Amino acid sequence: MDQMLEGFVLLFQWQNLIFLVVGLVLGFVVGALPGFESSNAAALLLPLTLGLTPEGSVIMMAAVYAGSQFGGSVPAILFNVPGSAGSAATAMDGYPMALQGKGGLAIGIARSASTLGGVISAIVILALIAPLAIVTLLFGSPETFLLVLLGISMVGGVFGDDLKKGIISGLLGLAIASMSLSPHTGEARLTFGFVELYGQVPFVPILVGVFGITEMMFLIRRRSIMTEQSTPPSGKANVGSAITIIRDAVEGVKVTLKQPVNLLRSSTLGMVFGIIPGMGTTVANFAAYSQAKKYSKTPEKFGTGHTEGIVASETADNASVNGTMVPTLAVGIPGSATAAIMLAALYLHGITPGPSLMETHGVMVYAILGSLLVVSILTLPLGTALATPLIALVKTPIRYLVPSVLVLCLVSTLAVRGTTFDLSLAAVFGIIGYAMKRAGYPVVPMVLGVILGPIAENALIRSMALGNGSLSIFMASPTSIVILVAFVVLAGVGLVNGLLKLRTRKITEKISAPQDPP
Amino acid sequence: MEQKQSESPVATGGRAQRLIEIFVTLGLLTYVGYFLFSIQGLRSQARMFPNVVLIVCGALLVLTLATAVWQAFRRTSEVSDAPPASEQLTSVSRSLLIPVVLIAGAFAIDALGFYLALPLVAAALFWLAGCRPWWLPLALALPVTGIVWLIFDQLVGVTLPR
Repeated sequence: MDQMLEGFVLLFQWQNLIFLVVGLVLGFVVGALPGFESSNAAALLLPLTLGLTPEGSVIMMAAVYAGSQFGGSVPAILFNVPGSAGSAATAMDGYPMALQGKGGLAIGIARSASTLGGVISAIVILALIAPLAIVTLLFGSPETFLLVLLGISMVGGVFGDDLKKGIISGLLGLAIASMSLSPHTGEARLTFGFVELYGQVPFVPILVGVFGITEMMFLIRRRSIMTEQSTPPSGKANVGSAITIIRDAVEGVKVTLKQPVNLLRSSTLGMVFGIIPGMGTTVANFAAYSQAKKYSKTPEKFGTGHTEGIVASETADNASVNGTMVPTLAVGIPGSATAAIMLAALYLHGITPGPSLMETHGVMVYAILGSLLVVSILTLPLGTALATPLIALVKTPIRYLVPSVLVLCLVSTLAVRGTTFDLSLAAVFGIIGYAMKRAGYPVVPMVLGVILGPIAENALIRSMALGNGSLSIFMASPTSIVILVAFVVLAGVGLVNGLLKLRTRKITEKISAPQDPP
Repeated sequence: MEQKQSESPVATGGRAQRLIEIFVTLGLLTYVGYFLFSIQGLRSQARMFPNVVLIVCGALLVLTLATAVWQAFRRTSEVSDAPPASEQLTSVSRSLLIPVVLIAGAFAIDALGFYLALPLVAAALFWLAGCRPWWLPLALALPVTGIVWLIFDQLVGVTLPR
């Protein structure tokens, strides 16, 4: 309890509040731009936060993460183009409302649902983190090593269509993380003679390359962020005057508060899916949407501009962001790409994330979790004030947007060490990310591997020393056995999933194959 | 019927995607193999972790490669909604020019200094993104450089190369 209070005192220092507001506005902006995710912004922000305190930089990133969820609902509602993956289900009822001329009200509902989903989940997580911290004390080196592998496998299994490719991507990340001097013997490993690779793993060029440059390489192939099909009839893509915006905001709160069961159910689902690494916002908001439809008195109205659909989707969306922070801060396993970048930020500030984080930096953890509560509350007034500029932003032409972001990538890469080697490295990782994505390899597990690699290596070496070189050390404790069982379950789920996909493909091929005439 | 399908651009797009998968998987396998080979002379503590990771990764890559090769060369009615190969090639080359410009930018910064090289890199990126006529990228690059100087040098105080 003392730590929680100290955490809030730390959070309410004026500098941290400024970082929080700046992060929230940036989150709105990033979320409103389809093709950009909060991870892109967090990766570009990472080097620029080096001058801040560790809690300041993570608070800013957490605000970007949470803000982008509401920002993503604006183009989803007005243009049927989800700005972030977590807003996909919002478009299903938000866009029909916009077509009926109620776009402002739909945004008002999305904003209040985001706020309430965020507040409910933040309160639950603040209460949950202390008991979880006690559980994390059971984690020694063998458990930490197994947990890192499990986290990467889970994230690898969820991102992309192929479990194999997800795991390969995660393992490649671990291999890239060991392209440095060995922390135990000081020998160089695949550094190609570059002195720049002798120190800590260069997170920033890798993150900027994979999340910034790769995304721009895909975006430059499009003429515009908006597609022809996504533009509503003229005059419908606006939210009216200032008075109308405020009226819609108040109405949005009223509509949302009239659905307490939907709110609680969607918050719970969002949190649960957020806590499971890799599941994240996309799964959470579709799950909440389908459950809201299932238990609705008027399920036939879903998809035609029903407010219950927007409330369910947006509540779960923000609740899942907060849920993601639980494994990230409690055990050092990031549940999403943005959470992985937050861990990288801690690393760059000299803090090792992992099960001991709550023990060593409990006050900071509470400050970060508290910031999620404050961000959720601030979404309501700030989101209302910035509604009109966000809509204008969605219409930014690609030819101005892509070069501007690339210049930011360039500056961000050079900002850490000031060496142009990092810029070339970022460009190389841009190509690697592009090639991997084109070939169907997800890049998020790779980034996770790069960030968790040093933790995994230290844990493996220590475990082998503890066990005198015997692998039985990885089965010596009940916690290890639980993690190994989770591995078996994951492998089983992956296998069944793969067999089901193969069967579905065969049936589809059979149906679509040309029939010989009798 | 089958012949017609294999000649259509749609079918070519599906086969092209498989070939990309094979090419990238082979590239990753080469990296893993070379890394594994290069660390064998190191002491056991230095190579233990990469060894474990690379062997598992290599095995999975071989499996993925075999699957991709089998899928690419078997007779199939699988169709893809990918654009025609010629169109893909044009857009890919535009995308690949971005890292080329950035690497050239790294050399330019070393040779000319940051604030002389940045407008050139920015102009090249604006041109690549489709800003026309020719003077527009240059006209945009100058204020962009000014904004970078103002925000990062003056306000944030980031140390950028001179």
